[in-house]
Amino acid sequence: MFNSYLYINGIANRMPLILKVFILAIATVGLYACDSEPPKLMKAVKQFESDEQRTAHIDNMRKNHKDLLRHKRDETVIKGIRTEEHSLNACINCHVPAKYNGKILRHSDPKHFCATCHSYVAAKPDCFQCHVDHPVSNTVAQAESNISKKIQTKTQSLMLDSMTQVNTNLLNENQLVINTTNDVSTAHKKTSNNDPVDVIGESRSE
Amino acid sequence: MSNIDSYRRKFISGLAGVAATATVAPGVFLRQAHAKAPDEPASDKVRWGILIDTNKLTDGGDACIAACKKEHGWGDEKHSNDAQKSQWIRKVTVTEKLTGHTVTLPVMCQHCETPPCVDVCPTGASMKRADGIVQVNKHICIGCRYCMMACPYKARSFVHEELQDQKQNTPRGKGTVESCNMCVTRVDAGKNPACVDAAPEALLFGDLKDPESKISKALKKYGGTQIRADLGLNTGVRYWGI
Repeated sequence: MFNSYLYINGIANRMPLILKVFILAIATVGLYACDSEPPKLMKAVKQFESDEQRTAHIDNMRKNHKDLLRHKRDETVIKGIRTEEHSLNACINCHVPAKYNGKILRHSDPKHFCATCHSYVAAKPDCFQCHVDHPVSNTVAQAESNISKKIQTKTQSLMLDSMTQVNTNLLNENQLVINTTNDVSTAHKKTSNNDPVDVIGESRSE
Repeated sequence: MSNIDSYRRKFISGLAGVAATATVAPGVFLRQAHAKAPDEPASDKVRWGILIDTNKLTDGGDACIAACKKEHGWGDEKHSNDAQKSQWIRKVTVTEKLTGHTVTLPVMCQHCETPPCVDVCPTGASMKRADGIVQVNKHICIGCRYCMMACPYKARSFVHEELQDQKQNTPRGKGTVESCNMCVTRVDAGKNPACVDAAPEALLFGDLKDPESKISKALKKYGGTQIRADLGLNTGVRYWGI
């Protein structure tokens, strides 16, 4: 039977040394060109407590975010399952700042969390033709009300990349948002605890 | 009916009752749980409906329309003309020719049990949820507008222009059809639809399948008119005073 390993080995044995070096050099240059840096992403508002969790999240999302979002969108629209996990709104509320340099950060801006990679690989997401591309204040208050101070301090120590200065500004802004909107979130909880039936009952008891 | 038959019927209906209570988790009775858990799918054990008393709607539904606009963000399309602009809920004034009696009523998606818009949709985007809410799954809507033609209530609109800054709970976009979805995110969170909260004296929201709900009791006692009842669509939105 034809054995490809022996065949290639045979060619390599008969090849002049200069040719071997040349092929190796071409391959090395080629591989070096492939090894480009992925674009730097904006820091998320909420950070994981451990680096392992963070790494696992990044690995999972880099590969699977499209499938997870697609699965979740059907679950939500058709079945009405509205958990935060894999919800586009939850992604946006955590990864996109409410304001960036005093302006709303649109998905058309390459600094937008989603646009950073998508413009790099020239893949256009359709999400934002219908979905809002930045957090909206009252939903942000809800999402962020759970962030503990512990995670917030951990965030600062995790800032390793070159965007540290920008991110610190962002974080401070976000902390301000959290501080000011805490009252809103508790107020929201109070209203949502009301039994809707009681409201109707009062109005229709006459 | 023979004694055996009536015995059998009682036995079977008793069994059905047992089955209905057994499907619910221990200690949790579906009828009393008005807010479903976020991870719980919509159930066909409920059917949401709205009862509108037009006699008590002193403004003819203006407050409801304003609340709907605020909740879902429709109606401020900048480049669309009046015929193109979205309208999830509208005021309709009807005058009887003989008596001259005029009634104003808010009309939106009537959330039919057998919706014509779902029948005609080529992609399955126009859909009815298990709990009876009729809505558009915009992810698969191709904007063909068959549903707009099929709807006898003119409840659906088509988005003609690119939008931004939509509400987070109401994604809306160019090239898709949209309509009243009975504030599906609010309902899932155990709240009333926005229009019902805007005019609580005239609108009643509840479960039509639960005989103990306020809406079912009110409908049982006084009845409720369907618009175009002749079509036999068994609408989830009922009216008084028309």
